Amino acid sequence: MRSIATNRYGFAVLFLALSLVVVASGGWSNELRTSMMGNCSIALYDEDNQLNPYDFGHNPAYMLNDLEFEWVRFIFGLEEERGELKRPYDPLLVNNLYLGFTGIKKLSDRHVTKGSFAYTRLWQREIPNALEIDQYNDPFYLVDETTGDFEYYGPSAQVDYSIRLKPDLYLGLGFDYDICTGLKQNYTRPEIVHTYFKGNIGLIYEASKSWSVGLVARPVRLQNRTKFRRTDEGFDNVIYRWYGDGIYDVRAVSDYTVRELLYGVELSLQNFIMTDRFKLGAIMNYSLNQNELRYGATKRLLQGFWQSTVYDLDLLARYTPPGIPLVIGLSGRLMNDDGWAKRPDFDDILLYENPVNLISAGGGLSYLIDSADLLVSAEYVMNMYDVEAKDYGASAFREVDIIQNIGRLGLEYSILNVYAFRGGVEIIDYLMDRWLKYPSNTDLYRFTGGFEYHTGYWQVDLQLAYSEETKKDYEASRRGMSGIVWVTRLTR
Amino acid sequence: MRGSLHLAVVISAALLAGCGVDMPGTPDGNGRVYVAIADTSGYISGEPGVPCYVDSAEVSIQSRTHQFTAVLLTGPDGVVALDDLATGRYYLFARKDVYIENNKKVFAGGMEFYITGEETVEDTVTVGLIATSELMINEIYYTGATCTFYMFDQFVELYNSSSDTLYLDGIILTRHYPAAEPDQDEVDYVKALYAYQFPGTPVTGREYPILPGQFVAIASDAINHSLYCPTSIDLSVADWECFNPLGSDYDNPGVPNLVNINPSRTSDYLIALSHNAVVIATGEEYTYEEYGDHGSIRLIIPLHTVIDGVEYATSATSTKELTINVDAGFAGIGMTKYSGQSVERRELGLDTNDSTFDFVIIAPPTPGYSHVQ
Repeated sequence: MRSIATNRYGFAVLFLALSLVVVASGGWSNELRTSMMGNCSIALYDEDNQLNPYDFGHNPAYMLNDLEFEWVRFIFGLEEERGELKRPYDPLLVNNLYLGFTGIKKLSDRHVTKGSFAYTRLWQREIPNALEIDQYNDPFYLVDETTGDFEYYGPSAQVDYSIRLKPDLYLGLGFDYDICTGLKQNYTRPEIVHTYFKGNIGLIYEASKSWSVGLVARPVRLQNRTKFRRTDEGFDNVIYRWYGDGIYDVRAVSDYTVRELLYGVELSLQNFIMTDRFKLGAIMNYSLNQNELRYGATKRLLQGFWQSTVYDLDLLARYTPPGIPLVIGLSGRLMNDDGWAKRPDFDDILLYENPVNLISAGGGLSYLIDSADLLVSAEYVMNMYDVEAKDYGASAFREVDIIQNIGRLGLEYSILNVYAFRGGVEIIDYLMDRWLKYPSNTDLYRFTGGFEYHTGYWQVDLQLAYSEETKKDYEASRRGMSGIVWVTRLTR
Repeated sequence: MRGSLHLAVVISAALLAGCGVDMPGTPDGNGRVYVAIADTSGYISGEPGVPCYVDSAEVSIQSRTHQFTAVLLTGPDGVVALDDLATGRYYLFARKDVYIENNKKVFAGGMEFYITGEETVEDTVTVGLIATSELMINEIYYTGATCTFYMFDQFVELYNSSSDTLYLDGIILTRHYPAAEPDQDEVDYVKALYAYQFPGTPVTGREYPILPGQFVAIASDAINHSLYCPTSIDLSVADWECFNPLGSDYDNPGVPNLVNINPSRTSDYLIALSHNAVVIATGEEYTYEEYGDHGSIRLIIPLHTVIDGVEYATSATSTKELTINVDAGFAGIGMTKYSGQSVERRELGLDTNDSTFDFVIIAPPTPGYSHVQ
């Protein structure tokens, strides 16, 4: 099955998604089991983490083949994150509460559909000055003079559909749609209407029994419309429009609208070799995102432009040796994201340049200790980042060339196929932020635990997670806690 | 089929790559300005007619496209240099105070320049003795008090900076027509939305004197506004009051009136709270012009009759509405509605025709006196 939470559409959308799903818990994805086991994914076999075009490649066309059971699931999640270890405009505290359901149904032998719906309340508290749902999605940002809370409410929906056109050819269609409205609780009281649409069109051609080739196109449209209205006291709304960290202007107006509109598209070419013992997935992605900012009371003038172009090659291989309950996995990734910005009033002048280069390699093992009904999964990923944040307008230049180490360990103890107790730990050495504004050399420790109870057609999953971000020789930290409950009814 | 899929993605990627915008090649933030400040009058140093470079002149640089101000002093060579300027339009203003026979004289000059990318602007600004009008607008209080929607306590203050008695007879006080027009810097007139006139005969009248160093406060409504808004001011002691007999305007019988002369306006003298301009003119010559579909009238006032004018705006990047021939800048940058603040001249009698540098923001307002006294 495909994962909603791990789709990638360049950093802009990724960071927005991260801001909405604050603690990386997997609650609103299809990967709660792997999330409970420390986010192990390289060598951990899971129905929702298979090495196939749907789970790994997010290609809706393959959903028909990925389907094993029909089910309906009810989801409840509460996540909270708090701490001073953050970027300047990040909220001190984030509280995210959501309720939803999701289900998959086989319409016939030829086609299958999946739908999800959730309603979310996102509470960003004690945000210093920031006036955007994601202040860090591009170099342009708005601030005012107050610290306040933003409260967002809104539904989100996802639909996927897969049909077999020919015995070896599959078509998939899908979309994600989010809309939420946020209001800052104090002056300047902007109202933000956030809408997000992503299409997902995929093809799968089974070239042979063990080789599938896929193609995915994903158009994206994201809009944040921020409205400032006359205050009850008649005061002006004083807002500062920043173009990078060096250039700004001030607006003092009664009514004002800011529209941020992102258009993007991603093309993905997928190759999968899937034999009984060996599986290999190779995904080549190209994506282009363009973000326009328009400001104004009556006419909305184009004042900011941001573009990012991403080339991304993602590899994952798994091998299951004969005779022993072992899975060996290897992962690799090459990614180049070239982002830059300009002020359209000065069309030939480069305001900001932000290239991000990633070379990643990882390996993992999963081993089932039969005698103890204990599954152990461990993995290590090394990410080599080369990131530059060149803010020409501010004459501020930052660069890091670092190695990020990620270690994960997951355990699962099963009893009679009825109960399963899971735990895990994930350690990320050096959290990365493309703007290089996060306190440098911050580490993340994430501890998870949970259980699954299965009876008849019903299954209940519960996950508790605790995370802590720390920085050496730095008193402040950031801690997160989350609880997620899934109640799943297998219908067939 | 496999080949087709591969071909499709390659073609699509190529097409998409073509959809992207090319990254500009010139980085921002590397502009440089290198300006020499020169004097040819001979008053500061050197011989008349021979340029000499002015040491320790105060040079202010302000962006007209974003929020940026820098104040520098020239070195012994009379030069200032500033690096790392962002692309945009700027205004440079140079001034030097010189004491001639114990009298302070102000030499000033300015230039506008545009910097793009890594460009260096090199130029010379020649300063000259500022010839200012002797009667000038000294203070404008337009934002309103820190009460809900209370802006009826606006006033304009005039000042006689000369050593002679001047006369207010027939002078008109206007609210400038609040719109930018493409030819406003070329035409020889300004437009007025509201106009209120002192009694008496323009230019030749001698009934309403203003003594040297005297302030004259002209209130929209000459009442004690603190009775209605505790944070407001007492204008019952204003020298003059604007009165519009065409409307239901309150008239304080104890304060003499400037009377509305725009027959299409029935409201009191009120000016915008964020961006507008105030002009005073001799009143000797003006015409009416009809505009719009509703018979509205505005005044056309010849530039040669204008005594002084001040444009104010919250943002330095606002569009100029008053010709730069009267005022090259904006007073009140950063000031907001209902803040209880006013704008007043930085120094008594200083008038460079650039309100950005001539005026400072003060609170509370000072009707009838100055914050520098």
